[in-house]
Amino acid sequence: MTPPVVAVDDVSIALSGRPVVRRVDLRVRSGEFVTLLGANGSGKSTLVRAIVGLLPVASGSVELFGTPRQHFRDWRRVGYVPQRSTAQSGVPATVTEVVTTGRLSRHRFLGWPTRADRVAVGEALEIVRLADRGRDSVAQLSGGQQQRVMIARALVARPELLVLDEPTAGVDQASQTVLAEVFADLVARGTTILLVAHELGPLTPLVDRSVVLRDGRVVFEGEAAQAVLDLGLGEHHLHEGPTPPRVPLTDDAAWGQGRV
Amino acid sequence: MRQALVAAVCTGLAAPAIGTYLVQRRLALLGDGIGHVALTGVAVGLLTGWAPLTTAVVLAAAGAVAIELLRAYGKTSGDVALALLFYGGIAGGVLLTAEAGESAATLNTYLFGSITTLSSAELRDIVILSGLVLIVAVGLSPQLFAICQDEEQSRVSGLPARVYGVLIAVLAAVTVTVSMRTVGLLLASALMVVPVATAQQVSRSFRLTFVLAMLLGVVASVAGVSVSFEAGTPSGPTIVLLALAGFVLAAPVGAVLAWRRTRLAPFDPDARLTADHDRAEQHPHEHGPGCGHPAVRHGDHVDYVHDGHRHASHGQHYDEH
Repeated sequence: MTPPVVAVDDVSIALSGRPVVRRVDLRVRSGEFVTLLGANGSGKSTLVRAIVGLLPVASGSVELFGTPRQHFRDWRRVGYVPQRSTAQSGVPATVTEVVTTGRLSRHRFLGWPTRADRVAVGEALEIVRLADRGRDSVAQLSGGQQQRVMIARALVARPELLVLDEPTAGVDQASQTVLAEVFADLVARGTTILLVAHELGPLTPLVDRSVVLRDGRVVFEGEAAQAVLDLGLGEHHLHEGPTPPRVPLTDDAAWGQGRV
Repeated sequence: MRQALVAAVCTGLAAPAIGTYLVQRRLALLGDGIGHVALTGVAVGLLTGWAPLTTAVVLAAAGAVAIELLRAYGKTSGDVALALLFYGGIAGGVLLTAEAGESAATLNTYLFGSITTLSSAELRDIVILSGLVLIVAVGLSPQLFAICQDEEQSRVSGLPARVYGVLIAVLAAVTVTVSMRTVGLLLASALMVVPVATAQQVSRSFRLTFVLAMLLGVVASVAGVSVSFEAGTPSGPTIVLLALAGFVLAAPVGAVLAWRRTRLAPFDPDARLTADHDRAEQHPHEHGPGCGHPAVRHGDHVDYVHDGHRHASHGQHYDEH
């Protein structure tokens, strides 16, 4: 049996001495679309940053494709979209130039783009529906289009696992719909997806399973995560207007069972 | 004169090449901080009798690595780390020069450039070091561009981003010291940043910015050296003022280009194809000549008036026009 694509076992993570993720278990299997949901500060970004190797874990273990993360070198199998509102830097760059950097996981020492790289860049831009914007400067694109550029950059090395940190945050409604189409394509291609989000919105029908974090702990895992979030269990927020009617959880036992 | 021109071409190429990466990482002032540390290096050379260029390269590189590590691992923010470097470097430089019994005039030749006093041994070092900087800056440009564009993403791609970060800092240190005799330590950073700023005014891509910046750097430094020979002005300020004149000329062009882009972008036909156009509601009816809906010519296609709005055929669906 093939090992899970991502296996997080009993992981705790501390940031400057403060515990942010506490004893979390998480499995993502090949072909699954899993989302990590939760409020700001719930530890969801920290957890994925540790999964892709940007942060050390305090205890527990992370495995990618069955290999302990600290020994994992096959980074071409992983595409990562960091939490960022823009793909711009201090110097202008075209969409093609930015996306081409994603190919470096395939040839580390001689980075000059080959014919295969150019083909892959064209395909990645096709997937995110930006095929005709390749020669434009990223600064000219809208926030949602820049997110799609970063997704294309993660896709261009044809990864088996795509990890995205809030790609839908601050993106206008129309771009969210396009992103949902892009994800539907990726799911159809069999790409394994781990996505961090505030809320699912138009992605809801695509998601296999959601994990809700709160204060660094998993408080729910299953298909109905959005409902859990909406009930306010995953997130504290003040409601305006009259207190909503109490909605009883139909099955209290579901709490334990949804978990793997 | 010939020697001075060779030195000018070398620094004019190397400084903007590495400067492009610094500007991309939003570390435009790093070169300035390194220049201050290199000053201490020069003073060490004057004090010990070693070649100032060598001691300056060593100390500047050490300072650059220190600032990069402070930035990457430390709690000190980039600008505070830079400030520490600025003050330590200039204080150390002035103190040690006084200790060596050298006058302020000697220091000035390093601070603001003095290309006429260039020795052939120094020229050889300049050619070798700037050649090295150019080979790395151009040869590793895909990797360096990637880590300057998005350090986290490139780390996840398996690139040793921290190693490349230190490499960029060391290259910047070497470039500053190489530019010491042409533009001077205090103005070397200008030759790293100003041509890049000028190039970005007219460029949309990294590659064009990179090439254009090097071209502008060479033009400014060669012209600056020639003018300073003719008019007897100090070479450093002449070069920098010429580079700045280039920026002043390019800035209005850049402003006009940017204005035209933002003005035309919403109506850009290419943009509309991929951008999030309004799709019309689902409807099984296929518009065509004689379908019953009034047809309106709209640019290169025909819209059909449909319940008070206009539908245009686009692929498998209709757009709202």
